[in-house]
Amino acid sequence: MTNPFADRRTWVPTRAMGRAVMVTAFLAVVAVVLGRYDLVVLAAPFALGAAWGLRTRPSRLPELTLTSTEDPVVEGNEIAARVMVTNTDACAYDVVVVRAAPSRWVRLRHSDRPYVGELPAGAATAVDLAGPALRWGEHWVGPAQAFAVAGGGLLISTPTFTDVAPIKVFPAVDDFRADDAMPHAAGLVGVHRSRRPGEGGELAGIRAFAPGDRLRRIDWRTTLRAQHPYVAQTLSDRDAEVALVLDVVHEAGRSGGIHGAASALDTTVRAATAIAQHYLHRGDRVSLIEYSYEIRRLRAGSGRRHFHAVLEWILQVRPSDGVETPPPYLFDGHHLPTRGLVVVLTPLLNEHSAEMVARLARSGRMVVAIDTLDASAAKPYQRSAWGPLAHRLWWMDRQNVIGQLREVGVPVAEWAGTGSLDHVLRDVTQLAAAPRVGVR
Amino acid sequence: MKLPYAVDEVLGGLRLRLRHTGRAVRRTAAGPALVRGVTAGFAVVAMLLALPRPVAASPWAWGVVVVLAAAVGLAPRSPVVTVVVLLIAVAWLAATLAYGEEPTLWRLIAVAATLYPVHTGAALAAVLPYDAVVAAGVLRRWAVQTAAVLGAGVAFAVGGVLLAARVGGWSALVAPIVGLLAVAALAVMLAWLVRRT
Repeated sequence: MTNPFADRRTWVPTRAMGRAVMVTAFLAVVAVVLGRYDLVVLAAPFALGAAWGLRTRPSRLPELTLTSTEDPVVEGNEIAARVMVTNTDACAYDVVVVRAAPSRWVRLRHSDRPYVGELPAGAATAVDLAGPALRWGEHWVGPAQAFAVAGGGLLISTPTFTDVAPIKVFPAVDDFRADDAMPHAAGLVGVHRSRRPGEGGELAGIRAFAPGDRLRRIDWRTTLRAQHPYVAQTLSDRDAEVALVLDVVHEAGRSGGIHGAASALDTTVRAATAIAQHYLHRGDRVSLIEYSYEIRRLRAGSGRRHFHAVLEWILQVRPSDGVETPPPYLFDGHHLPTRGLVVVLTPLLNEHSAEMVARLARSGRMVVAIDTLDASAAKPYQRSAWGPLAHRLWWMDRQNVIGQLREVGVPVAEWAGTGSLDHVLRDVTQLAAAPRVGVR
Repeated sequence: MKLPYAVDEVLGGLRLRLRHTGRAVRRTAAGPALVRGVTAGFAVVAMLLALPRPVAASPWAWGVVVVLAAAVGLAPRSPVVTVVVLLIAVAWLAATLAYGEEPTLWRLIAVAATLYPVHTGAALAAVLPYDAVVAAGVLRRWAVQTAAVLGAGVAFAVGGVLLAARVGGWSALVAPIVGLLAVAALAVMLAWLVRRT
């Protein structure tokens, strides 16, 4: 941030300075005119005070630095910030006023009030602020501002500003676990028990030895009993790709931060983080796509480093909050894997979002929709007699959309943390395993 | 009854102003409130000491004094502080000239000792945000500085009176000389300030 006072960084007289001069002059002149010594006595403290205060005059402005927690934190955790003021001048500052404003979701204790202290020559003082970050996102502390007063209140400095100190706050990861198998596995390595026989650790059954079987697969106990070679058949272990589509065309609900109500965007971001963490921890590849007026994408990747990339990427998520919807050609599905699991996190507030989900399902992808809207928190408009009726119609229309999505094979689940996806994954897995009727 | 649009606008503005004032009152911190209260208190005492006795005895004068002192406490950044300080000086002149009251030494010192803290207290209150957390050292330093200047001023007054008594008159000779010296010092100080600005 540029300092608006940069072109006139100096010390200026206060109104008290003008008052001291005016009162002294008035009393001295009247004393001379009327020959009144008592008026000189009244004027004496003003003149002495001004002379004492201005015996040394400051020439430098206070130096101000603002530092804050550099490492990213998780929402709900504490953030620390320090504002340091240094007096590099040869004379003391009678008063130094310091203030630093944090962003809305950083609740630094006592940061809503300025701090006032004295500062001897060559000394420095620090104001330490600490408090929790209440919501995920890219937040900041500052800019900090300081001004000083010297000469017994007769001189005041122009304000000094610092830049803002950015703070990254990652979303708190809800406890999430999905125990059911992935519907489609992609590679030849991974941790998922696939539906196909192959090299792996999961026992699928015992069968007679056939040419090509490895000798180490022979099950000797069965072979001795049957007097014929038998082998243990296993299911192959494979990894999978999970694509998370974050529908942020519209924000809904009012966010109360980590300790309050969650908006649709909050639920979307926290759920996406939890799902990504879960599958990345299991060795899968995860990609993310922001479905908004502009399409933003994070390529598929795996591992811990990719999880950090996911966290950084997710901090940039913004609702478009407009009537515009992404043009269909921007999101025609070519960004998404054809044989992976597509998880769409959507509040289903826009008919184009529902169409997008249905289009993905019709293209043969395994799609799961997570409803991120807390519909129970939506209250009817009470100032009109038609409010409850309109709310009821909206509710029925939404249930109808959810039903239509289920008809095209998209299970819709509300986000509820642990096990949210288990029953829908089971459905999708069964659908994936079933024979398909397709057009050749 | 539906109010005219303009009246409704004015009432809305007043409500907003009241809400802001209420919020400011709730947020006011102890340090700045103490400084403003003490300044207003000194203003009350200085005015009552400076006013002629018959005037100071009337209830309406008390009302005016309290209103002016409250204005000093509530608006220390405004010119009202200068006006009040000058009014106190004028009241002192009126008491000693128009009402013929004797300018006794104790009363003169008391007026001087309460007038100067009005000036310095307003100077401090003017730079303190009303909701600021103020370190005790700031108030202590301010009080010590004010007391030191006042002590020097009282010494100056007593020395002057003794000098006047020695030369035989109360102030006929000393006042013009000291006043001219003060004006000259003031001019020198202003010139010095202008040169250094």
